[in-house]
Amino acid sequence: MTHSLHRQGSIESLQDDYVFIARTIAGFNREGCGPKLQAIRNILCDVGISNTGRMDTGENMTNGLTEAKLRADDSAAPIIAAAVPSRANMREIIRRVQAADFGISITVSGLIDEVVAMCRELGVKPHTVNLSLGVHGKTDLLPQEDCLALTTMCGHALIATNLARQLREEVAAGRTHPQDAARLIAQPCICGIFNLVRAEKLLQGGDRQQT
Amino acid sequence: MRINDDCTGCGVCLPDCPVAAIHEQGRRAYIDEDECVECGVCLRMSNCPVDAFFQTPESDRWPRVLRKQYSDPSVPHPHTQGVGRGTEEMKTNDVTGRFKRGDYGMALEFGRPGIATRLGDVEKATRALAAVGVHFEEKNPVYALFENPATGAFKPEVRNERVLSAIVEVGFPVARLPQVLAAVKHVAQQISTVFSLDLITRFEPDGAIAVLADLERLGFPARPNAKINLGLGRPLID
Repeated sequence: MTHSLHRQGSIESLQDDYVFIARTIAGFNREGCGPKLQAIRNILCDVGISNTGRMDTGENMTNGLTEAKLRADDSAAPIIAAAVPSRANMREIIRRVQAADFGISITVSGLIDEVVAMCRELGVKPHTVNLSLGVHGKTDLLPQEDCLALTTMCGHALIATNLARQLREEVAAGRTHPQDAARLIAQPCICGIFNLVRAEKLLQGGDRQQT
Repeated sequence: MRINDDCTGCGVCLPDCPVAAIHEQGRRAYIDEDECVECGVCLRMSNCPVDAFFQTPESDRWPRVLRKQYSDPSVPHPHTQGVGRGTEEMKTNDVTGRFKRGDYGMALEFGRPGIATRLGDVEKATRALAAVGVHFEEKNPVYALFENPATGAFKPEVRNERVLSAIVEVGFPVARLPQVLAAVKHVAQQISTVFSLDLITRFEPDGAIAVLADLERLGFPARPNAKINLGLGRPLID
């Protein structure tokens, strides 16, 4: 699953867009991992995230999942995924997870230079990288880049271009507040890696300088 | 997915469909079933004031059931028994060692972002990649579509099914990168959809990503954002 890899937009807007994933694997570190995962969820809540979700219930932070539910969750789910809205928060989450030494695989999606720099600052030795080599094929079918910056924050492609376009127009016309629009666009993203804070900024200010 | 006769034609649901398969005709909405990928977004969004959306028994019958299996990440895939539409790829590589030094992993995420794909277009890629000797990841859902993995041929009846995404995951030795990327370039010219392309590699001991210069030279420069396994899993495979 590479759903956090191909987020589009300007370098500037991607600087405040990280995806944190904790992944256990049967036979290695899944057995008895519930308390560790709960501790990770508490770290995410303490430091601050902009969204997370549950694939099994279809809930994210816009449609039923709350911080209280998240903190109470001690299930041994195979994966925790969360959108992190700033470099400072991402760095602090890595620092705390490293210090706790959970032994659970952690991946971070974001600008390579920023993530590698954070690792260097914290004495973390990155192991493997999944590089995005762009979109190929009949690319003239793709929507405008300002819509892609929003829709690609759901890597499972569940957010409709028409939904993003309509809400973008409603915000521009002053009929919908950017925060409300961001929450409506985020609803279909059931694993919760749609970054609500970045979406609100994109809806407010546009994102013309693309990568 | 279908819309029943209770539909009032209010149009609220029209923007929700990721593949724009909901249309309006005669003051009511209907779903183009050939275009529908059975992702379930329209049903989950619950915007319909009269609850007119319903899933038909046909959506669970072979081969149409493939649409749901490859489009709705909340449905565990029968081949992987997991949610999501791919594998753990490099997310657990620090403990599994699946991607080793000297090898690359590659994924072609067909239909992403936001266009969807017929499985016949995916087969064009599997055939082209099989011809240059890649190893197909057996745990990936796409593997279940093969009639013959050695040639990349799919079961004929699956080709016209339309899905939100299907991820072709392969592995190959570092030295074969030019041939594999040439095959990818050829595939890109043959299809009627898009794919997002990924390459997985180990960090060098000094923290460098050695493949970046080769990718630039071969016409596939890496974008500035990536997914990075931090190496915090235990026991660590170095």
